[in-house]
Amino acid sequence: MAELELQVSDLRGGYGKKEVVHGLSFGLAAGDVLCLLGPNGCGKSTLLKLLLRFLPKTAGRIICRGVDVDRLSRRQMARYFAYIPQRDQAMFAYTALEMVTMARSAYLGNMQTPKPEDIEIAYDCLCQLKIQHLADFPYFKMSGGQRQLVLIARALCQKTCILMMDEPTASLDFANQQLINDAINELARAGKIVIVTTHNPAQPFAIASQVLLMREGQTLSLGPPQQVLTDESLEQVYGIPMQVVTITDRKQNQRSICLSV
Amino acid sequence: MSKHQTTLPAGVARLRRPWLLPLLIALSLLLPLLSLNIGFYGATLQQIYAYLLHGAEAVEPNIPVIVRNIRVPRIAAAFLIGAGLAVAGAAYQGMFKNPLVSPDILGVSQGAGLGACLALLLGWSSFGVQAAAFCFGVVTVFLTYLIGSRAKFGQAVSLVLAGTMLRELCNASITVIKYVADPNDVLPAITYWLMGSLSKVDTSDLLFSLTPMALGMLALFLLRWRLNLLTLGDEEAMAIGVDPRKVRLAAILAATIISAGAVCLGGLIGWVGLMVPHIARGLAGADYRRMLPVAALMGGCFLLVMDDLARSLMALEIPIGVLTALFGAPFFVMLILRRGKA
Repeated sequence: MAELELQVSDLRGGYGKKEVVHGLSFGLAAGDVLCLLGPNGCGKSTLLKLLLRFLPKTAGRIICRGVDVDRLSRRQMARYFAYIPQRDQAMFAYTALEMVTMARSAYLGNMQTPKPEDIEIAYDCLCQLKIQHLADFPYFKMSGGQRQLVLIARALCQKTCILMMDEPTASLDFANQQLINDAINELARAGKIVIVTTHNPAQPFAIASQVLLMREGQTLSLGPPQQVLTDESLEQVYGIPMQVVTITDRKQNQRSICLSV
Repeated sequence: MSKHQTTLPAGVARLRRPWLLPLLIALSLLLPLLSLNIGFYGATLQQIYAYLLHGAEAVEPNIPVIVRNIRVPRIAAAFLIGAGLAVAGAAYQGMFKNPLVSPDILGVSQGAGLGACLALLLGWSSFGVQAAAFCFGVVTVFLTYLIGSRAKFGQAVSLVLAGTMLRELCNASITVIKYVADPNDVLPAITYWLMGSLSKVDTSDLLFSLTPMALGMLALFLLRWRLNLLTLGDEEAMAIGVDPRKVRLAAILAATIISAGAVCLGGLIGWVGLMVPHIARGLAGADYRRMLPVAALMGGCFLLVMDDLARSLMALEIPIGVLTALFGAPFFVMLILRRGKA
């Protein structure tokens, strides 16, 4: 079994005095994609925020590559964890390259500005996702899928081992969802740990090596999608009759989808 | 150390409008020289340049006094205020993620206005008025920040709300002072001060404001790339390794001493800090590394031209704040309408 790069044990926390996440534990190795699945308000986003230290945790430990995350400064932290928010609206006309270059702040001092090397790293990240043609295109004029790819490129530019995505395929059209799923699979092949929240119970089958099924801030079950996502467990989580259907597609691949029945 | 060879393909990250900065630098050198010629006293260009090139002996005795004591400080003040307000406005627009924000968003101008009104009411010297304006401006922003940063989440919104509240409080206080002020001498002085004018600027006024304004502009210049990161919002800024509260505090501090210095020097001059960063962003792009110097020079040139017009359009000098509004508002409307179409 591969060595665990990220170990989370008994993580608790929430907003102020209100605890939303009640003791979650999991461990991930390089190349793992973890999908956080559960109904609205189950604590998926809160878990991301706790991992990224946007919110203070009240208990638990987060160990990344043997380092206790609590000991890290914000800047050091940004060299382990990258965050890809739900595509946001931009006020100003930054180009994709400028957006991506911003992530170099994880490696720059307070008064430093990016050097030519930093801009090249940023451009390489655009190339990795095959969107280098967007380098000088303003972010706010892009489509939802393009924006999401630029944000992924920005996360890559941070050179972290872990990437966190908050509902990366929400409000994208079908082709763009596919595009993002492919990008996530590519990241996993490159050895990144990716943590993804989703509202689509079939998405884990397409991307995840692990699923954390959550309800009310607690683990319902944790493991590979084929084991975790069953008719029973999904019914338990969503409270409606569900069925997991496995079919063989035209290219002879086994595919699973989730239906409410 | 060898110079880094870029491996970016040709045409990527190409500078848009490469002539922009050189043009603005040239204008910033040329406009002050031309502006020396404008004013109440009819000195010809030849006389002024004869003085500049050959010294005081070459011209009639009035010329050196007018140039040295009146026109140079005034030109310098106009340029400095314009540049300062543009830079401060640009910084605030970024940190509040709103291109319609102006430098007085946190109450610096209204606070300074209140300080000046109080000092005028108490019959303080002109230095006293300036000092009171500066201190009140800074204290008002300090109070805004204190209230705004009490909120644990969404600091930007809390700051705007606190700023609005304190601005209204200052405005109400100014109204009270105007109401009780002697209508024969104090009230006109207050009204005149609030209108904004550069007609009484002298060298000592200029020196009083120069230090904080220069320091503030230097600080923002050093932070210029970080200002980009604030536009991402707090969570994203944290995720890329920046403490947004620290950067914001530094930027607010710098923008406040710039604005307070500007208000001390020229009273309330609106529109520059809102309009100029907007135009600079449109021409130079959103990245503060380039946009900030462009905004500074553009703001300086703009206010200098406005002041030239203020003292030459009519026999009576037009208050510069009125003029910037007269020019600024329609221009802005046009800009918004054209944007909507594009």
